[in-house]
Amino acid sequence: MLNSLMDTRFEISETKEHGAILRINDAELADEFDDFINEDCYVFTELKFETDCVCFYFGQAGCIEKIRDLIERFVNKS
Amino acid sequence: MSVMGGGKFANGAKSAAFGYLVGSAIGVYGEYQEYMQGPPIEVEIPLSNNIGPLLGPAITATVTVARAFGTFAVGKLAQWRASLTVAKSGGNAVVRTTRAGDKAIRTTRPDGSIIDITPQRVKAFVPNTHPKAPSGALNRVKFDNAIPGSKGFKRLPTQQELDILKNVK
Repeated sequence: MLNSLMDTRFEISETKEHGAILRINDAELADEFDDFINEDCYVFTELKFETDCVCFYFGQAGCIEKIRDLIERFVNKS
Repeated sequence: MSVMGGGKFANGAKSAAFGYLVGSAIGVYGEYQEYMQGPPIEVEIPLSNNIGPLLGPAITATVTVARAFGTFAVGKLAQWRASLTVAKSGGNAVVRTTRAGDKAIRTTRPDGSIIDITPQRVKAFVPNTHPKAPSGALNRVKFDNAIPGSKGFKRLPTQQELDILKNVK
């Protein structure tokens, strides 16, 4: 399932195997988002650096709606 | 008007001081020429002085070269050091520019761990070995000497790491 947001820098998807995944196609933005979820929130994720994006894995307990809320909070804060 | 002749200076003392400075400069240049034309020297080329510790054991090469070439070669290698070392260590480095306009480098070690350095902070990641984890997924490393407020995930860069950033093109 793919859920594209208005902001094309963020892309949320969900797989049965790994749960909710957020891709950010800007390394600096991903770095700021990483700081946001670690310093301002209480969210556990794992990362994966790819050539043109950074993936945040939220796991099978992660949900797309919650990730979308998180992005909104992050964008509004920036 | 000739500067060398000291005519530019109305004050005699200043003119004399200027003449002394010119004489000193010529003396230094003479010593430099003498040094450069001397016998060959051994030059240790620190291929991995800067970025090597991040990737593995240091790599150095000692070569005997003419003085003029040795001076040139060491200068050139200092510019190429980061990429040469990364290539020799089997890792890779990605350089980017931060929003503040600073250079940042993300280095992947052969074991898959990553260190991400900017002038403001260092983050580190290690591979997640959980059998169900996605391939290439990383866990954040917590530092004992973390920056306050970073929840342990960021520390200040060392002088050596700042030197790496200076050498990055």
